Amino acid sequence: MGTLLTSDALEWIGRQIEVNGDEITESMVQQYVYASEDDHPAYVSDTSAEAVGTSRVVPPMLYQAATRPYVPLNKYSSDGIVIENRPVIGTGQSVGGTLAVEWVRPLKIGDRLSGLKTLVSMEEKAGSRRTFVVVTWETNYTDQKGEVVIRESYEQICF
Amino acid sequence: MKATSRFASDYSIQSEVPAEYQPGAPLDVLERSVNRVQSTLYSAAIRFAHQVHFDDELCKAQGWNGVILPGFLLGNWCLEAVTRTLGPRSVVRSVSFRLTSVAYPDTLHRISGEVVKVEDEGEWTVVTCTVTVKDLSDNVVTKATVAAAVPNTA
Repeated sequence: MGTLLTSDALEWIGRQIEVNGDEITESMVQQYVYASEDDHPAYVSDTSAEAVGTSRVVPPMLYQAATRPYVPLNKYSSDGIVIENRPVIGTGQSVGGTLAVEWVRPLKIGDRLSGLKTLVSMEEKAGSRRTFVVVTWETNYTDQKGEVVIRESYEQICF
Repeated sequence: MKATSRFASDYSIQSEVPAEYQPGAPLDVLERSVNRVQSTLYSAAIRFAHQVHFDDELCKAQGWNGVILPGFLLGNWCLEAVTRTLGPRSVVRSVSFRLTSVAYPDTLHRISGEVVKVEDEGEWTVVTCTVTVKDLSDNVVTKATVAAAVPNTA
């Protein structure tokens, strides 16, 4: 066991968090398109998608909002992370590591995603600036029909 | 400082995978610089409240210059570089990206890459690309692998 991986931290391995996302709306899509400036015709409107001969889809990375339901303020840590989504390691802070996402099908307006996030591993590493722990979460998100639409592996770098 | 956004290509130009998109073919270069307003709006759009995107003092305590850009936005740039190159009928299939350094608002970033694999799936051609995001000092801030599909029918 390393200096950061305490027994309390290691107890998080295997922890599962149920995610019940909000329905993806036109408003969410417009907010994302404007903020990202990614005006792919398939994302912008039914009309722009049709004009280039394709189907309207949701910007792929919008799944982040669709799988991040709002929670009460007392569920957030002081640095803005939902407490149950991060083990307490070291200073309690983190940054994002590798994110791997596979979209089984493009998301559509009206989709509602749910999933079970599982903390599958923790690995302590020595970096050039500090020691940190790579925390890996894996999630399969299903749509309103129960069909898997996204497979995700996400690393948190905790230090 | 005014945010700049210069599209290297227009989505309306291409409607199918050009024959030259074979392994080694370069992606159209995308340049992006966002200000703190846009960074804030992006964080809101993905419902992400991490204070490293809002709190200068917290970031300086980490040894950074100030607030940093959301990693998901940098990942999105990698998707966008691929779909802008492949055209308006392209559909993202997968991404794997890693932040190798922090990226700051009001800094020009250049997103570039190349095709590494082209696969025919019958109705679709799947193009896999490696993509990097670099700042003006040529520091690599993000590395990604992106797969996107383009329909084979006109």
